[in-house]
Amino acid sequence: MNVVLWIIFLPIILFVIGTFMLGYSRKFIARIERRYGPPIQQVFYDIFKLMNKKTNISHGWMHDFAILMLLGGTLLTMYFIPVPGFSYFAQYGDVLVIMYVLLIPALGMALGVGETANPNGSIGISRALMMLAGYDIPFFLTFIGMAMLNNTTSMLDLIHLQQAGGIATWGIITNPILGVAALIALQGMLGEKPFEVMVAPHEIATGPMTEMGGKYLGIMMIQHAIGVVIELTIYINLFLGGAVNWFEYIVKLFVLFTLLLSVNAVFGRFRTDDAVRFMWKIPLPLAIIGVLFIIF
Amino acid sequence: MEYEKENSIVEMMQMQFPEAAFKVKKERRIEVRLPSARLYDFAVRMQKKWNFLHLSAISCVDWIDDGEFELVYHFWNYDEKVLVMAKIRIPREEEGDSHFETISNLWQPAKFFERDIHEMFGVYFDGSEDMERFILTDWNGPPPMRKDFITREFALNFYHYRDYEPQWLKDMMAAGEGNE
Amino acid sequence: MDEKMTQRSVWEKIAAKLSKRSLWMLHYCTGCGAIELPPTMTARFDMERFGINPMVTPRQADILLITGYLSVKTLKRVVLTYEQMQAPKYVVGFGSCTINGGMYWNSYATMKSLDRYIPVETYIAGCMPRPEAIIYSFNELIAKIDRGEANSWKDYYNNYDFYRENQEHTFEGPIETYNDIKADAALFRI
Repeated sequence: MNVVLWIIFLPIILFVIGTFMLGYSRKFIARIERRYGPPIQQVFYDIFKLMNKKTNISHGWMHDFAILMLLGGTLLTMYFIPVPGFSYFAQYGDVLVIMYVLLIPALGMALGVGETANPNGSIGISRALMMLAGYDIPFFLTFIGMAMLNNTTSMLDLIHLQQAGGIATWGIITNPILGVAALIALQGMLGEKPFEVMVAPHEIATGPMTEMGGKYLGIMMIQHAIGVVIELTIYINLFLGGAVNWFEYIVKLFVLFTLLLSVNAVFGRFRTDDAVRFMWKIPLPLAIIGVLFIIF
Repeated sequence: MEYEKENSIVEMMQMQFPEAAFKVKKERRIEVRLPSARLYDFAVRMQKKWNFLHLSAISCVDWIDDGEFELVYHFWNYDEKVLVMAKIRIPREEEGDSHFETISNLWQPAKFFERDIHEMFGVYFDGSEDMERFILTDWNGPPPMRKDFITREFALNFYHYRDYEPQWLKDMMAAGEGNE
Repeated sequence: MDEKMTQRSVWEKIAAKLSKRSLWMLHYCTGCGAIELPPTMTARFDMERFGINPMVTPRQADILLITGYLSVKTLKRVVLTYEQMQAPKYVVGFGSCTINGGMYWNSYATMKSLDRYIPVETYIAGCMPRPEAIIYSFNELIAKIDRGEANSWKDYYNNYDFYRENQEHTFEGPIETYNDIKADAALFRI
C-alpha cells in the first residue's frame, strides 16, 4: 500500500520541487543582473496559464502522442532512481537501465517536432540530438567508471556504500576526475548555458518548441521541471553521497543547482559544433583517464 | 586647368555620341542629355568600354507640365572617381503605364530600381523578368509619386479615421484655425 | 468592444487570478515604437517581475504588441500572426499611430485605426510612451483580466465578418489565411 501511495505522489512531489527550483533559477539570474526577478512561484503561473488556453493547434496524432512519450519517458526514469524513502523499483533497475530510459524523452520530442514541418523546429531538434551525442558519452562513461570502482551496477548499492563511509567515500572525493567530467556533462544535459544552443530563442524561435503552444508547452514545462530534478538526483546519488532524508536531499539539490546556475548566468552560448567539440575534448578524455585509473 | 580629368572623359564620349549634350557640372560630376533610343548603347559602352562599372541608382522625375517623365541613370567609375548622370525623357501617359526598355541584363541590381519606379510612377520596363511591387504590396491605388496624386485626399477617402471631437478642437475650428 | 462582466463561475475567477500573473509578450517589433521595449525588459524598468517575458513565436505568446505605425504590407502579416496565436490573446496598441494615425495621418499606405482590423484591448498613448507608461498600462491590462473584462478576443470569433470585410477593403484582394476562424469558433465553443 505504501508503494502505491509513493507511485502516485512521487511525481507530484518532484514536480513541486522542480518548479520551485526553476523559479529560484529565474530569481537568481535576475539578481545577478541587478534587477528584481519574478516571484519564486512564477513557473506555477506559467504552467497554469498554458494549460488554460482555450484553442488548440494540433498537427496530427503523432504530434500529440509524441508529447505523451516525452512526459512518459521522464516519469519512467523517475521511478528507477532511488529517492529518500522510496526505492521499490530501484532495486530492480540499475545504472544501465537508467542510461537507456534517459534517451526516451529526447526521441519523443524529435518525433513530435518532425511532424510539425516547421524549419525552425527541425533545426532545433537536430541541434538537440547532436548535443545529445556530445554530452551523453562522457556522462555514461562516468556511470560505468563508478560501477567498476565499486563492483556493482545497482544505484542503491552505490548510495549505501557512500553513506556507510561518510564524506571520505563520496564519489567526488574518491575519484575526482570522474566527478568533474560528469559535472561538465551535467551542465550540457540540463540545457544550461554555455550549452543552451538547443533552445536558442532569438536564433531559431525556441528551437523544437516553436510550434508547441498551449497545453503542449505546458506538458513540456512539467517535463522540464521533473527532468531537472531527476538529472541532478542522478549526480547526487553517484557522486555526492545520496541523501538520507528529504531535508538533506533538498539542500544538496539547491547547492548543486546554484553552482551550475552561476556558470549559466555569466556565459554566452556555444555553437553546436563548438559545444560538441568541447564536450569531446575536455570531459571525454577526463572520463577516459578516470576509467583507466580505475582499471590499473 | 580645372576639370581636366572630367573634360577628357567628355571628349572621349562625345566622339561616340555626337548628338548628346554633355556638361561638366562641377568636380567629378558630368551630366548627359540623350535621346531615349540611344540609352541602351550608351549603357553598354559605359559598362564594357569606359569602365563605369557601378550603377548607383535610377531615378525618375515627373515633369507634369511638359507631359514627360525624366529617367536619370547614375554611373560611377571606381578608377577615375567620376559620376555620370544620363538623363532621358519619355512620354507620360495619363492612364496606364509608360513603357521603356530595361537594362537589367547588364546590371542585375537595376531590377530593383526599375521595380521601384514601376510601382511609384507607373513606368513599365519591357524585357525585365520581374516587375512586381515590393514596397507597396497588397495596396491597390494609383502610382503615388505622380504629381496629380493628392496624398491627403486619398488618405482621407480610403481609410477610416476615428471620430474625435474634443472641445478644444471645436474651439479652434470655430476660430478658423486648424484643418480637417 | 468591452463586454461587461457577466456571471463568472468560481473556476473562471480562480483561473483569472492565476493566469494574469504570467503574460507572454510576442517580441514582434512592427514599427519605431519597438525601441522602447529593450529598456522595459532590462534591469532598469524590469518587466519580468510582473511575469511578462518576451517570447518569440506567436504560438506561445499572449500579448501582441503593435508598436507604432502599420503599413499595409505589415498589416497583412500582423493579421496572419494574430490568427496564429492561441486564445485568450490580447492586443495592445502602442503609440498614437495605432489610435488615429499619429505622425503619419495623411500617408497613403499606413492604416489609421487599428480597431477595424483586429480587436484591441488597450491603447497606450504617446510618441513614444516611456517605459513607465508601458508598465502602467500592462498593470491596467492585468487588472482588467482580473475583473474579467478582457474579452475582446472573443469578438474576433463572433464578429469575423466585420473584420474580414475591413481587411479585404484595404488589401488588394481576398487574403489567404491558414486558420479557419469560423470552424475554430464552432469547435472550441467560443
